[in-house]
Amino acid sequence: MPDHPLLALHGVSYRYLGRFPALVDVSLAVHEGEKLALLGANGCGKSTLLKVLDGLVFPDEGIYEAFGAKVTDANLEDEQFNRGFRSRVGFVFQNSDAQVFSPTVREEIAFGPLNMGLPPGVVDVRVADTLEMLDIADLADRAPYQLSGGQKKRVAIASVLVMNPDVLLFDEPTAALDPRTADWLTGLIVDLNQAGKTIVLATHDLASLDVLADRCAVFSEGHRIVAEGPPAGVLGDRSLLESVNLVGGGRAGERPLPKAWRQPAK
Amino acid sequence: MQLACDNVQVATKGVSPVHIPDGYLSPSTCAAFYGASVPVWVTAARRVKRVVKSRFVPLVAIGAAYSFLVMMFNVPIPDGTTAHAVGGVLVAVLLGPWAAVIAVSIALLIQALFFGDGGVLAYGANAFNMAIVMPFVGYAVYRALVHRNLALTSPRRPLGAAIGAYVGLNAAALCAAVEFGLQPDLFHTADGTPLYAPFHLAQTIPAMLFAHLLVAGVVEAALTAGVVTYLQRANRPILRINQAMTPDWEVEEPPTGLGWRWALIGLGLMAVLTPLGLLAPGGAFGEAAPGDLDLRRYHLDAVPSGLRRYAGFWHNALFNGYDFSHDAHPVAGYLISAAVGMLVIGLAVLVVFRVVGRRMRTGEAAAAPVTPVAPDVASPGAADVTIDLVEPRAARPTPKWLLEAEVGLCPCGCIGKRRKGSFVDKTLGDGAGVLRRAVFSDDVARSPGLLQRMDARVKIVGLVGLLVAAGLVRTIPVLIACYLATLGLAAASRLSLAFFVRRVWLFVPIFTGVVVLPATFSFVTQGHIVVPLGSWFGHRVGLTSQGLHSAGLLVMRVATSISLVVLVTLTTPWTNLLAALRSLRVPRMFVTVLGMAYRYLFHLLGSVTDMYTARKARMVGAETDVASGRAFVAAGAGALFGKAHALSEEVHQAMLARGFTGEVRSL
Repeated sequence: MPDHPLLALHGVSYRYLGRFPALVDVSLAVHEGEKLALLGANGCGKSTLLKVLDGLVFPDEGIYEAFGAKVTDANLEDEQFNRGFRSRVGFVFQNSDAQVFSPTVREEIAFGPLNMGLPPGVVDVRVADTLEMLDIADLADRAPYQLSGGQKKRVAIASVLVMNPDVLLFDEPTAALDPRTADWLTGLIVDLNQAGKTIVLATHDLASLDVLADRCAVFSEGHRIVAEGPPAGVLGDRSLLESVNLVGGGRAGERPLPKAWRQPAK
Repeated sequence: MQLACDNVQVATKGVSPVHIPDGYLSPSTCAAFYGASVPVWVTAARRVKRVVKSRFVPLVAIGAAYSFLVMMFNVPIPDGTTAHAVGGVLVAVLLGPWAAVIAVSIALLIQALFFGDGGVLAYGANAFNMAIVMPFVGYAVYRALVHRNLALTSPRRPLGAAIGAYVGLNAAALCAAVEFGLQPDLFHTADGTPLYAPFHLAQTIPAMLFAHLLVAGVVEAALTAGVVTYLQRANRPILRINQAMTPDWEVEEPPTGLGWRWALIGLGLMAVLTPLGLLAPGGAFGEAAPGDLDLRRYHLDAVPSGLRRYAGFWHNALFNGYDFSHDAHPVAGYLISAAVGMLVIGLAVLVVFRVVGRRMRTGEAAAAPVTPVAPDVASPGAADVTIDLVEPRAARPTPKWLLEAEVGLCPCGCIGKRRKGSFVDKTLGDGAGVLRRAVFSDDVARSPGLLQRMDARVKIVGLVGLLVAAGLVRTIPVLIACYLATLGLAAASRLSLAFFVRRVWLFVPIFTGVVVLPATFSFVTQGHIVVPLGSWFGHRVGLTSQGLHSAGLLVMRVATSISLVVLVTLTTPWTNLLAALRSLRVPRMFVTVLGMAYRYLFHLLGSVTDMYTARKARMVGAETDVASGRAFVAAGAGALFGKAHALSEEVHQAMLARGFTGEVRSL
């Protein structure tokens, strides 16, 4: 592992509307070529952390550095820095509907490269290659509302991959996908990592965690990172996972179902 | 006159009465309204962009999708039927008047261009009425009554919004009435046959205002107030979009001063419109003083005598000694009486508003909630918002009532009376209709045919050219030939002729046919009586040749225009339409917003459908309570706005993440 991390957070805190804390004193380093998973209960701050890493929201306190430079609102106003940062960090949103905003799939995928300032000829080639790679060439001229959830996810991933970023951020990539599509996506993430991409993902998919991640960071419900370690170690620490309310400790089984619900209908 | 009132009211229930279709206004009138609207659009775009910067595209696009859907919400009204609202003032209160101008304009454009509702040539006039006059007049009234620093939770806010919506819609209706009413005076043949809309100001203004003051305005006000009230309770941060610095709760003595600036803007706007209304019973444009009018032509005595008395009143009581002689400055006299009249009405509204506001405030003070409500879909990443409390998750007992079976289906097997479709089913039906039409036109557009093969640019230019041509034709046989030509084109494009004819003529008899019928009488259109129907106070009355000719012209022109628009919308995939607009030098930003609005229209439509389906699933017993139905619609529209806004924030982030800096680029 190289000495200098690609992305680094130092004591970052963030509050929504200046009132509701989402991150409290978070420090985290992302190293080149690794797969890092963020674990934690709903609402613990994983998505916010990804948004900070993508330069979409900015910490109230603390520092965020990417590729050795500070990322701030003001820095991203700089056109050259903006272009450099945006093309090197890609973000696949959890909500594909928010990400797929163009009238057609082709225009959607072309959006990023066009904003990077690539000439139209190069954009065309890249779009065609990406469509081919994700096996969605037949959807190119379709409108987003005609797509299924799995197809929309493919388009969302294509729209990010086409920019060829070094770091890929995924927010719950396999949520709400059928098992086959989820398997495909897990495989894709591993392939991308082997091709040299750095991966950061927020996930609840504990079953495929050992494939999806080399390292895990665990959030508490107090919006802090309380543990870091390899998947096997984290998954083995039952009391840790229970203390952050990620798993339920089997208490649901202690309560029998109401009798009325078990009686067959008369 | 009564006849005209009834008929316009019939129209109210079918189509939004202020949606003017092609064929009613002369091409030159349409051009004038495009000319009037373009500078407003440009100014609005500049102003909104300066405030929201790179947020502009998603905010305005999703605002437009929201406006489109708000026009689709069926609001139950006490007579058992439902009515639509326009929502122009609601959007202005939530997003500010300039953003509302663009959002509502684009919603109207989507209706005209993709769904064939409302004219393409008449789009300028429709946008002027509903997207410019309505939000600005309504917002001016709102801001005149609601001070910027008034607490977000104040009951005066929904009240002010309701009054604003009421006045705004009526201002829009007045504009439409004036546009209609000027047509016969401006455009007629030598023998007096009106070429376009046949009614005079004296008929259109009372008819339009009658329907709007009584029904549509009340519905508009109820929905607007309902949504603002819902957002005050459930999603307060949303109200901050247009009110960034306002406190949630009243900290000290609330400012009670009026927004004088907005009051003046509002009064100014109304002053421009009102004289036209006051002069309605006159000849053209109030060139004549009341005494000069040939009022007996209209067989109207009540209104003119009132007018004469007012004119005299100002003259004698107030302006005696000033140089307002009857002959010299009748128009100035009217303008001044208009101004004074408005002032009186404005003061009356204000007094009522103050009294009601105070009463509601004292009522609320007693029951003022202490805990601030957490926002539910307030802002980007709302899912991440939690109050930092580690909640103990010990097992909680299941409530007892949950274990007992509710009374289910009746054991004897009877299900009970079937209910008639409620506003819920109607809205669901409308939503399904929008989707069905979009999918259907997509299928048609992709099937082989003559017009499908044609380049979309050619079709757009051709459409506008042919609409203007149809607007300029003055003989019925030529119009019939034009109509038959559209049938030929439809056949060549492999459209089902039965469907095509039904689609066009279903609208023509319901709206145009019924509206135009009274215009054939000698009451409305003077001329040679060809079908005598007796006499009225010694005058021969009946159907006039001019009236019949005019009615025929109007019906054929509207049928031809609608056919042309339907042909183009059905045979062109909307993405091609967007690309064509782009290559026809329509500003790129505008086309992007239009495309995004259309895309999220369907996404938000899904939310509406889910909401109404969930309501339907939980509906036990007959839905008879109109008030609770209306509260649900208002909550639905309010929640939808929360969703729409959160979505626009997320889309903005998704755009930023891929390098968007506010400049639109396209292939």
